[in-house]
Amino acid sequence: MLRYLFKRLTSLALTLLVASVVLFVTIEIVPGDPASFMLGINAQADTLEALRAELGLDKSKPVRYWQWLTGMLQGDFGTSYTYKTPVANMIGERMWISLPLTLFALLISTAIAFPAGIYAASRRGRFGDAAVTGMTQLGVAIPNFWFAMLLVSFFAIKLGWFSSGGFVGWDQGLLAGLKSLLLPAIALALPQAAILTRVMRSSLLDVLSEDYMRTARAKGMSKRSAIWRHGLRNAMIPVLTILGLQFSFLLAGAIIIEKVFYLPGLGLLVFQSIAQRDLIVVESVVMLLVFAVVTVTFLVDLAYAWVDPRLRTRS
Amino acid sequence: MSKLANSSSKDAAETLLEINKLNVSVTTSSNSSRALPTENKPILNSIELSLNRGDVLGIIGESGSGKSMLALSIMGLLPEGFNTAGEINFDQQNLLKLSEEQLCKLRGSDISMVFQEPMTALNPVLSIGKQVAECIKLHRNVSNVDASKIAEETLAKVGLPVSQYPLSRYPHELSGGQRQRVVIAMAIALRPALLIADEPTTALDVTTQAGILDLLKQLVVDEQLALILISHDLAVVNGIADHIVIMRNGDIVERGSLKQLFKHSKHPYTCQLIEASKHVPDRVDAAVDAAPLLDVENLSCEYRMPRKHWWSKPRYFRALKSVSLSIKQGESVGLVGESGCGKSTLTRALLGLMPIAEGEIRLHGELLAKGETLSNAVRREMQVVFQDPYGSFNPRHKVKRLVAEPLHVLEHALSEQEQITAVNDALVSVGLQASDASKYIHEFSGGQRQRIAIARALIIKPALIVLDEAVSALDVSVRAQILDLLSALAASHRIAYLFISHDLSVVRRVTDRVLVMQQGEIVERGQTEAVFNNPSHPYTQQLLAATPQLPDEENQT
Amino acid sequence: MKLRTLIPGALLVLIFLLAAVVSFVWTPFDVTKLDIPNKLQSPSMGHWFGTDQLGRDIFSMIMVGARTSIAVAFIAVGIGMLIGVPLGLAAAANQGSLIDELIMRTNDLVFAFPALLIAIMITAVFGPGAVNAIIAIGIFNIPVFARLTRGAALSLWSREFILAAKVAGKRATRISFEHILPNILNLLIVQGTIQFSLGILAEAALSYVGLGAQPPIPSWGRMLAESQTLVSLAPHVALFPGFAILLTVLGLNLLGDALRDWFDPRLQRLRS
Repeated sequence: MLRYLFKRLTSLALTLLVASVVLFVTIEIVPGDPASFMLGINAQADTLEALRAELGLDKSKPVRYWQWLTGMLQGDFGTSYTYKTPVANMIGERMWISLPLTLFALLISTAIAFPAGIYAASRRGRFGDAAVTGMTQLGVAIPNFWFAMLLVSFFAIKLGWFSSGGFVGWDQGLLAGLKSLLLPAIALALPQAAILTRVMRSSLLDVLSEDYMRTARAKGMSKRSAIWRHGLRNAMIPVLTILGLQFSFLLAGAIIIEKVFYLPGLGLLVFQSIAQRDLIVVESVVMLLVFAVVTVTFLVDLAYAWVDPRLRTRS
Repeated sequence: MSKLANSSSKDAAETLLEINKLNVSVTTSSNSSRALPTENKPILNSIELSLNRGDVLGIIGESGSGKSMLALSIMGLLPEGFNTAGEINFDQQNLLKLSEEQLCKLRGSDISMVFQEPMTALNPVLSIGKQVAECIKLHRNVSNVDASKIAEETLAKVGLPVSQYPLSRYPHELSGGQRQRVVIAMAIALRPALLIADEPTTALDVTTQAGILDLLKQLVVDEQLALILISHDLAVVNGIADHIVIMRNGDIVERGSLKQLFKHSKHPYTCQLIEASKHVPDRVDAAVDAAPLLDVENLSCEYRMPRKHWWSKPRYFRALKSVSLSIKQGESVGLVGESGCGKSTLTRALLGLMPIAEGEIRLHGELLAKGETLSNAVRREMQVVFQDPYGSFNPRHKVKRLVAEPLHVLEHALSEQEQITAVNDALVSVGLQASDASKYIHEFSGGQRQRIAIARALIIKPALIVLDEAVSALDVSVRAQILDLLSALAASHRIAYLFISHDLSVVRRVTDRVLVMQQGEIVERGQTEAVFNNPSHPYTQQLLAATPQLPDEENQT
Repeated sequence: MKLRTLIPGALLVLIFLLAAVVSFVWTPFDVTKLDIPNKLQSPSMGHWFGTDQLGRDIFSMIMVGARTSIAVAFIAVGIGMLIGVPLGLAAAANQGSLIDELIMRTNDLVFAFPALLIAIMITAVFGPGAVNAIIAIGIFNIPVFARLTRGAALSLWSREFILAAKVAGKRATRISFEHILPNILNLLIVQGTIQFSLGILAEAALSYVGLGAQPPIPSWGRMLAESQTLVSLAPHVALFPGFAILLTVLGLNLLGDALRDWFDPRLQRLRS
């Protein structure tokens, strides 16, 4: 078990390291000099030099990569070219919208998909199954940002139950905060819930035809308790994979949904920064998101080992 | 249930199970579209059976005979879409009339079942202790501790004492035979009156099989179980079953004791089955002074094991340890051993499918290159027929293309017309027709596919064909035909065979010499009859003792 | 089951393909011509789907938008297949080797960047545009196909008919193309339709946030972005492009499901 953990951790660190190199190199390709961009065309040569030194742009590329990397490890993401404030502060504020939104959506998606998938699998070929499967077809096809627009126009504008955009802030209390994230989370979650339902259903159906399900029935278990006792845990193995992938989809999807609801999260920050060529912010946000995705992949690996004893003994 | 417990001090002749006019059919929609009418395909026809307490019934049949469906009907576990009619009276209640809830109470408690595939019969994510205890908790109102205690006792009874096999073991930590013992433990934990074992040893090695059969025999005596033992193999039920029924296409064609059936069977199918089980093909013995064909000297092969860490040195598992053997032209050499002994590795090494760690292979006295790829000249001389008649062919190609595949190792490419002639000749020589060349493989039965596999090997007229468990997946009557075909081809084409099999009785009937392999080494070799009559190595003796035998073979050894 | 999904699926896909093709030669109105006096008109006989805030005909824009969506998604899936499938075949043919390891680790790396992040990085560097959207979606598709191909090919490599081909002296590359590829083609086609539909969704999302096709090329995603403030005023401006995306993706998914059933060997046996 420890060996498994250690192996996954090493591969996590390695992925992050390579990702950071790829990211750094990509951003380095960008033509133009951030310092001259910040000061405008008419900048004096000596002020330009001073700013370049201040930003650390006068050093060689490997040195700058090293500084960026070690800085990040200490929580220092550099200074925004446009706002001249530490990037870490900007991200820190925004993260508390994007991350809760993603997790909220993941929760909703799971809460819908698990019961729906189990229900459909246990009613295979009957009306209930067909109804759930039909719904998932629609759910998978719907673009989440369009769905978000429809939600806003109905629940916020027509019924006035929610505000049509913006975020009240966590200082207004947890419930108020969650309420302003509810519509965005639903918009994000439903298409993913549809995918997860399909995976849950088909994975459970695969498990149902396994020999050990027949053994359980031969022991005198009813179909239903055989599914609960023996089916679900085995069916979870592929579902976990998809759950991990969904996190990264949701995280990226949150960036788009934030635009629909004017939520001041990481998404809006990124688009602003792209428009203003504030690449150090883009670089940091992308690195952070990659970190989140890789961490979740790691957690999924741990969950595998928890579900499946075969992974615990093999290294 | 209490009724059953009380009656354990029963009258020996009391009837436990009585099946009257059992008919089972399956409803299939004849097309993928639902609008078309459905068909009712009969599976079992008017089955009549009765079984007394403590008796053992053997059910024998080839694939498609309906023997497994009969077992599932008794358990009430037929898949959806199956219709039943008639009576299955178990302990004076008609099982077919019981509700699902009532059946759940009977299953695992009064009637239990053991299935064929022990590798997949256990839930991989639950410990064996939990799985056995669960069975007890389902039917008895006992605490977890007591359930575990009963589980422990039961596992000890089936030969898995808790000192060596703690309850916390997971299925993947056990071998196939041990897993089957766990399945049996689950089945007998509550002392059922009836145990149904459906091919319980078919997936196991012969020595493991002997252990499981002994266990079942002992349980019948100790626990006063009635046992239904289902098998395709007459020899397996010999010595256990009091009565036997022979099934074919959903009918019981004959019944009686095994000895009776062997002495004077009335039904032609039974005679055919018995004849096929002990069929000895007509063979021409290899000439004693035949020229050497293949010489293998001190051959060793290794598999790379997964590394512990990505920086650690790769580890190797030595699957073949200094194996030497030789095959003369036209000779048939058997290689026997249990799974994991290195038989398949040897096949792969000979055919150039895996690299050789040490040793030499000579063909016609010429040393083969050590690398993984063999020259076309060598490939022309050696071909192979694999076990699985379903997996051996690319399902997307026609038979013509499948059989012609080895032709491209020929020195001079054949013309279109020559290819067609070659394919036709090959098909005809294995007893098929030239017109079969334009069909797809799924249009053929298992036995026919194995003929096509032989045709593919034959088409370049090799000197040696490696038969890797080539008849193991076939029903006995089909197997007898394929063995006849192989013997005829050996005589007409002067082909040598390396006949690899786990089935000692088959090897005995078709080979000149035999090699016995254990853990990557050849432990015994010699003339087939000499080895079988007078085995010198303890492992060979053990293998032979474990091999189930037909009634009239018992006198021979 | 099969026909129930095949016919509507194929029909929907065909309709949008047709719309895209026809838009090259004919649209009811010129999508580049502004007609401010007739802005935000509801659907009518003249303008079937109404007009937008600049008076352009929405039906015509959806036809041209279909062209953008389908082209971007199709090329992106093509890139993913053309690069991913050979990589997957190579990895499977050399299982456990350095090549295999390298391909799979690179795959993991790409999976750590969700498609949108790749698009963001590319736009940050090269600026927004349809070509960059194609590259972003394409890069994301490569590991999807590489992984699928490798997994399916690996299970075939241990099959006996592949061993038989090796015994017949055929080389790994030849076996890959002669025996492996035809046997996994059905999987690839099914996954292709799924990736195609995901590509359409991704293109729409990228256009919506301004990272996809740039004006004046109409695209469904940007139509939705521009309609956002008008939803309560003129719902049709937001509804039609949304339904266009929904129906195209639905059609592709239904088609994919039908193809999967069609290719499934277990069902095939029942059929024959």
